[in-house]
Order: sequence, then structure tokens, then C-alpha cells
Amino acid sequence: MTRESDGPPPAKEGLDRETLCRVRDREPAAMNRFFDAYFDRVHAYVTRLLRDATLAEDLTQDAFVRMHGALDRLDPDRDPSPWVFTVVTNTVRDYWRSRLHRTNGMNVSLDDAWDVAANSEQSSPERDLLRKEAAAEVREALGRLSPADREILLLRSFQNLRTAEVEEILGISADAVRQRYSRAIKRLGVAYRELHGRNQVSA
Amino acid sequence: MSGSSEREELDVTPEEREALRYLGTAPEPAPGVGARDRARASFLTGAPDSIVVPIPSRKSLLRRFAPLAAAAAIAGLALWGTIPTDVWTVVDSAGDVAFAGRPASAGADFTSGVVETGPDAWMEARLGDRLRIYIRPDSRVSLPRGPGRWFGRRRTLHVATGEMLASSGHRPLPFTLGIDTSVATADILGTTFAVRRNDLGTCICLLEGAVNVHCDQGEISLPVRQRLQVYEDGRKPELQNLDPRELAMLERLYAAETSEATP
Repeated sequence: MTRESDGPPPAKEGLDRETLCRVRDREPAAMNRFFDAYFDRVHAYVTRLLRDATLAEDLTQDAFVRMHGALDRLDPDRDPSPWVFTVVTNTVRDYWRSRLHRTNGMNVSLDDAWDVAANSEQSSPERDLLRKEAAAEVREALGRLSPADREILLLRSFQNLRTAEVEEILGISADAVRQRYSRAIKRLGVAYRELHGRNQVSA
Repeated sequence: MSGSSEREELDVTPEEREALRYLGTAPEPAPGVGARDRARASFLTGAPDSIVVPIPSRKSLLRRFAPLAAAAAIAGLALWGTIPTDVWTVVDSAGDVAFAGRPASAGADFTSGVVETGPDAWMEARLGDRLRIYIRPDSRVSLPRGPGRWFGRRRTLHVATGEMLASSGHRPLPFTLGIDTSVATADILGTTFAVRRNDLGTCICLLEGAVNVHCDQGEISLPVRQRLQVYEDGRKPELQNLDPRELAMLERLYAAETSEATP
């Protein structure tokens, strides 16, 4: 088991303490670097949570607006990832709670945002097809899970955030993170197994 | 990665591991044209562009403002409940009569105030349709505001000098009326009574209804068609029958209230 460090982690995404201080002071150049470091991750996370590309773009933008407003709370001595994903997760949760979400309906569309492009020049067509099918099955399995399950799976497995970071983002204990993550994996596995088994010629 | 190291501790089946692998390695979806620039501008300025604004549900709005709305409603109701529902209206008067420092002419309305009648002067007034009073010459009576709708249901009037007769007709008073004199106080529940300050002290006469008198000697429930003389010198209060004059005046007032005709 990897022991999580007690002190501040090493700077991520090329954002050192000095840069984070300038971000907190809303210095444009530093903010641009911060944005470039996190936009793709935030956008991908939101897209996979919502499974709607257009809505994901709007909520990603909304999340960055909120981050601007919350910059005073950015701690330059810590990895900003938990802070970023806390803001983003709360933005998505507010949307889920909103009337607009209920008007639009849940899980509106299976967007092609998760299309698997050809992986590499060295891949074979068969391998690419298998990967494509598996990825589509995982995508569909993920879509069958509750928002809470999707949330924790994407934070831990997709964003590769540590338990302590997810604990901070979701506002739950470390034990609760592990428990929820474990259950979410099981449920993902069940859903994936059903889809995968259904698509297989033989079991 | 530390995340995947932690994941190794979990008891995952091969299928689950495979699902997690695809979850962790799937390529990131590409944002649409302009999405990155819009988000960047919003981050730099803090100003939203064309964004989806979560609209709080009615339930959450209700939950958020319900306590405030409830407090405001209660305060409003309480305030409304204390507002006097009736005012004193002068039915008729004669001679030198002042109500709250102003001439008490017929038809005039007053919220409250001191009524002063000179020699040979008198005033008759009504409190809505609840109570009719008659203040005789050489009197000084303080009339209170009318009772509120729910609160302020007890009102006290003060008889400093002279005499005041009152009647609510055949109906009991819908509120508690207190009478305050120097030697006695009384709770009037209706219907027709008189309070007189005289040289001996205070005399309370009752034609109909119920009056409880409080004095140094204790509490006395006044029987109908009787008067109670409370003495200033400390003598024991005396119960007496109403004399003919008192009876006539009270009956006339009672008749006026029940028939809505002035005496």
C-alpha cells in the first residue's frame, strides 16, 4: 500500500507555489497557466459525469467562473487538484439538484464524447475494434450507475486522485471514500459483466 | 500512481479490473470549438458568458426562505392582530366637552384619549358596535384604544372624576374591559354598568352582565341591579340596590344600545 505523504505534495501540472500565489492574486498570466493545466481534466470529468457534451461545456465554463470567485480560498502550499475538483463537483451537483436538470431529464444522451480513436499506428484493426467495443461497454455500464457512483469512480480511477483528495472534494471520511469506491466498482463490474456477457458469442 | 496503488488493495474481479482499466485509460473527450476560449475568458474575468445557470428548485427555494417567510408572516399577523378594530365615535355631546384635547362634536372619531366634560356638559360615544358609553358632567375619563383582533384583548379605562355609564346591550363584551379608579379596579365582562367617582370613593353600578371589583378588601363579584360603594377611607365596601335614578339611566343606555337609538 502506498503511504500518502503528510507534507505538501510536489507541485503538479507545473504549478509551483509562486505561481499559485499569483493565481490567488488573480494575475492574468498565472491564471492562464492554471487554466491550461486544468481545463482538459475538468472538461473530461464533467463530460463523463453528465454524458452530454454541450451541457458539459457549459458547466465546465460555470465551474471556472466559480473558481475565479473562490480563488481567495486557494492554498498555494497544497496541491490545487482537490480544490479544483471540489468546485467542479459542487457545480455538477447543483445542476443535478436544479429544475433545469429535471426538465432536461437525466442521462439525456449517450454522447460520442467518449469515442475511442485509433490508439496507435501499430495497433491492429481487430485490437482497435475490441478496444472500441470494450470502451463503449464500460461507457454504457458507467451510465447505468448512480451519479454518486459515477462521481467517485471518475475521481479515483479517471482523475487518479488519492483517497485523501477525494475525501476533501466530497466532504466524506476516508473510510467512506474507500467503501463507496469499492461498492461503485462492484456495481460497475456487474453492469459491465451484463453488457459484456450479452455481447459475447459464448460466456 | 498512488491512486492505482490504493486500488490494488481492493478485491476486484478480472472484469472489474478490466472495466477500471478502460475507465482510467479512455481518451479524453475533446471540447467543442470555442468552448476552451469561453471558459478561459470566464475564468480570467469571473464573468459568465452564455452559461447554464442552475435554477434552484421550488423546493430548495422554499426550504431556504421558508423560515424567513414564516417569521415575516407571524410578525405580520401579530401586528395585524394588535391593530385596533374599532375607534371611539362621538354619538352626541352638549356643552363644553373635549376628547383628546379636541372638541368632541357628533360624528368625530377618536382612537383614544382623555374626555373632559364641563358643568352641564355630557358626551355619548360608541366603540364600534360593541360598547356605548355616556359620560356625565364634570367628569374626566381616559378612554383606551379599541381591542386588537387577536391581541390586546384587555383594555382599561380610567375614571378620575365624575361618572361614566356603559352598555354593550344584550351581548357580553367581546373583550375584557378594566375600570381603574383610585380606590378600586374592576373587570367588566358586560353588559350594562356605571362607574362613579364620588366624595366617598368609587361606586360601581351593574344593571346586566358581570363585574368583578378588586379593592383593598378583596375581590367582589357584583350582583346584577346592585351597586358597590368602595370607600376611600378604608371602610368595608357596601352592596346596595340601584337607586331609581341610576336604574333609569342604565336602562335608557341599555335600550339605546339595543335599539341603536340615542337617549
